[in-house]
Amino acid sequence: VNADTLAGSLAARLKASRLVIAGGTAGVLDKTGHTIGSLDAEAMNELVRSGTVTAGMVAKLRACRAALDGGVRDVVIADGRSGKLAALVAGTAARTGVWTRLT
Amino acid sequence: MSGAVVLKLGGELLASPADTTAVARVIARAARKVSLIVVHGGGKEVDSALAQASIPKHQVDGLRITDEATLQVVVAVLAGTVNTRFVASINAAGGYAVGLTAADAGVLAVRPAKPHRATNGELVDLGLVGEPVARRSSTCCARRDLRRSWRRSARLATAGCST
Repeated sequence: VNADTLAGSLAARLKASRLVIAGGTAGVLDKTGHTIGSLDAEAMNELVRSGTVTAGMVAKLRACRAALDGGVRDVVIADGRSGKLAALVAGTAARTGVWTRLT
Repeated sequence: MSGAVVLKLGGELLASPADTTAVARVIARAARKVSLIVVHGGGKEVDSALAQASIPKHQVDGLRITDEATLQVVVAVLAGTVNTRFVASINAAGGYAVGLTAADAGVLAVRPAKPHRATNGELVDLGLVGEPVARRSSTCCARRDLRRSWRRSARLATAGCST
């Protein structure tokens, strides 16, 4: 099982309050390499359709969508190396350009 | 809402012993305040174990194609080495973690993954890879079992998965 897929599915099934997918990039990046602050379902599909995001990120986005569909309200893809991991888990991370919120 | 937080950690965050210790400290502290479920991969360590066993690595679009020999290595590395080491780090940092895999009771029901539609349009069988059973087919009983299982086992769990 892909680890991102499992995380999204568990978050949905446990009705978690938050899903944080922490990796080595600063959230979801646009074509120019800048962090996208917020992504809704339509924008997400467009990123996948246009090939802006690679396979690994597609799995992350699908996992986030599964969590959102399962009622998880707070879903982010974030840079876990930024020293912000504790704040991300607690949901207190300020908007710093290191994470993308999925809506 | 269970109030739980699910945290997926990419392998790059656990690449060195120093990184693992730092992340384990954050997790041990955070788990005092929230129920935390940590999901980790470990693809790079699977790759080096495969290389050591002279088993060729096959991927499509970054997704692993898993045959019987590969699966044995994946289970040994993720459920054995990576998960145990990470759980030990968290507990050494003052946490109270237990390691689980999707095979453990109530964690996750899976079925064989559907073939992957590659970027070149081809349908590729990923082999011995699972995908979670869709929510609509999960019964209320399965969800209750899952919650009960988590409650019984720990406030903090790590689940090893292939990436």
